[in-house]
Amino acid sequence: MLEINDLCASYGELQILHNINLKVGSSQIVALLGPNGAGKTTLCKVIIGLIPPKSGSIVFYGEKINNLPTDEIIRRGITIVPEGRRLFGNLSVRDNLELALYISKAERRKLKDRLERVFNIFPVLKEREKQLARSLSGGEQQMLAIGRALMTNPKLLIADELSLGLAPKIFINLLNLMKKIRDEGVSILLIDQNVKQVLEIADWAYVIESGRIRMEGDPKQLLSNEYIWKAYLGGL
Amino acid sequence: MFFKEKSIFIFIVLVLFALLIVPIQAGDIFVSNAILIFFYIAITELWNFMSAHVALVSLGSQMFIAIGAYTTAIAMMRYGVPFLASILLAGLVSSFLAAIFCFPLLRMRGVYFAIATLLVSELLSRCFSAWDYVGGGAGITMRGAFYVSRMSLYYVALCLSIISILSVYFIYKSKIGYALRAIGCDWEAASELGVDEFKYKSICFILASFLMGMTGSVYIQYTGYIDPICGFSLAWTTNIAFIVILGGYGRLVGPIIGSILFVLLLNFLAGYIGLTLILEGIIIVALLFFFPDGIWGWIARKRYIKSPI
Amino acid sequence: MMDLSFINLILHGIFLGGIFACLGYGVFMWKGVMGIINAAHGDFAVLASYICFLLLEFYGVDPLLALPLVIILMFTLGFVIQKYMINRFLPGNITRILLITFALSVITQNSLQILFTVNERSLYVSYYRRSITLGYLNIPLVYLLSFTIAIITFIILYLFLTRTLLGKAMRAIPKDIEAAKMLGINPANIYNYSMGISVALAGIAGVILGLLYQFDPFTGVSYMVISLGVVIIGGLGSIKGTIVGGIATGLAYVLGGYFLGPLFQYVVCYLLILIALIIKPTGLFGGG
Repeated sequence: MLEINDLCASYGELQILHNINLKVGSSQIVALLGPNGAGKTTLCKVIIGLIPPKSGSIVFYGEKINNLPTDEIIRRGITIVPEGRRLFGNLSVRDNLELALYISKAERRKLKDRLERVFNIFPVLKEREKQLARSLSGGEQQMLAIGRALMTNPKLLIADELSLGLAPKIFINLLNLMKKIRDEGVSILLIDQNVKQVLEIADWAYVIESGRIRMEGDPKQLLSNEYIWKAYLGGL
Repeated sequence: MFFKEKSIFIFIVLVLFALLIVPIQAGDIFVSNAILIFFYIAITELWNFMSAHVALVSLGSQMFIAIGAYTTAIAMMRYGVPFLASILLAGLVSSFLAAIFCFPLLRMRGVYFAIATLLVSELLSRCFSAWDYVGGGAGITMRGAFYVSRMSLYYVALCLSIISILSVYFIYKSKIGYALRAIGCDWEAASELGVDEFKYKSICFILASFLMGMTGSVYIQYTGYIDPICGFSLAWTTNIAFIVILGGYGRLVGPIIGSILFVLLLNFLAGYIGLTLILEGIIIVALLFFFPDGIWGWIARKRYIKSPI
Repeated sequence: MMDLSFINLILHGIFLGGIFACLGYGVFMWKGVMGIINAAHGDFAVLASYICFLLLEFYGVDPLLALPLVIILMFTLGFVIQKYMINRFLPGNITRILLITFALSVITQNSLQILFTVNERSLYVSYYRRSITLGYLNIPLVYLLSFTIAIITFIILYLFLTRTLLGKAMRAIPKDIEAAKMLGINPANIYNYSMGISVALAGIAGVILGLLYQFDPFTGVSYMVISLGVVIIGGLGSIKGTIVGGIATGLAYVLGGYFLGPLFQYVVCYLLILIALIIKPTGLFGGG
């Protein structure tokens, strides 16, 4: 349902992304792996509309979305869990979730239902509903960030570096939750450096390095491919 | 290139020569206006440099002009100090005060510095209103015997404006100027390279106040009157900002063009001070929207003049 | 036996502080939310005073009745200025915005001077000058009214910022503007409302100050200094700090005048602000 065709993007003069080709299907978890500086976060920003692409296109459910404003892209069903969470620390858990519905008055009326859904997936957030976001633990903050991205009932969730700053156990828990979310019909583009765990739950995988897609394939095959480990993912 | 520099040099020498000779024959109006133009050039050159290159926008510069004016008036009338010595004294008193203000003010950057300068100026204004030595709210009026001739004032003003222009020119090219511009661009990077931010900003600030103090002498001789309201008025900063933005922000020639145009404007709207300021405000907004580099900046762009000053 | 006149003085300082805080709320909206400086803030307050003056002198409209109209006018003014004159220079370019608002300040001051001359004016309603007796103290009604309006303004503003989605967005954006954009929030839109509210708040402050004190076209400069002082002392963390800043400033003003004479009211006040600025520009009480 998401097709990225020959996408090129730059930060000013510096070209970051070179001819990216990527697909995400319905109810899929697609992994995007790669080392630091590979261009993963830039790709996120292009998809969500913060950076305009230099060339190429992004097609979502058959419609081109590459030059649309962010709020329109969100309305069409793509949301992002940004790298580093990017929560509003001075606001409560509930406020952080509520702000996700800012873009549309119609959505705001559904606040209660949406909150309920998110609290069902992350009961811990319901406990901490009135607490300030900055007082939450790392894992809880990550859950809040994911919950926030789920508030608008997206069809595609982009999760950038979920594992950052998290204990491995918590990360694995989150990945299991990702599976649950996928089973409810939301596709996930999972971007991470943490290769092994991500490949274990992904349905398809891409490897990006220096702004180019180097490889794609069945995660199980990639897991056992030593060449990939050494060349692109810097060993285990 | 060499030819071009030589012709500019000859041009400047001719202009200077003309400026030295002409007033002897010229009428009163020319001399008075010229004094004003030189006066404003002297004030705005350093403000322009500080604002554009060192990122020190001062909204309280008028305090140094006022202090200079007060110093001159008091020195001449109560202590019999001759005019030329008073000018120097005015500069010294202003820069002394600036040196004291360095410590609190120059620790701040950007908008905080701007607000603080305004605050100090307002504070001084209120203090002067309550201080009998400087005449309190009524201020000081120059008595007839202490006036110097318009001619003398002309040459003094001319000298001050030349000193201003040369100061900015040489500071810009010097090591100090290099440090200041680095601070203005990116103070963090400059600090990391070992540039003592406070020291250089202080030197610049004190120098600027010294010059502005001296211009205060010209002011009191020209208008014959100073009081806390008009001396510390924000209209000064408005006029300075107007001249600088109109003439060429950050450029050496900017304040010259700006001052000439400003004095012309004053002549046109003589007597309607309120209207002048409103017009200045509107023009400043228009300039900031469409021509933020000012006239000389626009010319420089059109003719691809590379020198940033 | 406590000195009643001293209590009176302290109360006076606190009342004034609550009103000064009103000037500070507007600053919070542009410094805290947008990070810019609006040099014309004080002048907008005076503008509101003059609008009320006009309505009072020519149409006999009570200033407090005119207040809602003034609020709407001021809000529109702020909204329009932000939308067409300031937004185009954001993000960054704070100096240019400072100069633009400075120019607006100059235009406002001198236009008022041409229209109303430099004579001092005030919003004088004789009924308000009557005193209300509370226990041992005689308080002029006008003080109570002004203070009440200031408190109501605070409450409404506080509720707005903490209970409404727009208010929450205004608090969120300065913390992480990119995250807000990733949620599809357009900062420029929010800034329009911020500035509108800010100028409306300045208007309220102008009206209630106009009821108490005389004003002239250039009083805006003093208002500006006090506004900044309130926020510098109180911090930009939240508007609760602004109340503290307001009271500190109010007390400095009143006590300065009492101990040193009327000419020194401003001096003590300004000195306090200057010291606070030197010690901690981001505010003594809040995360700026």
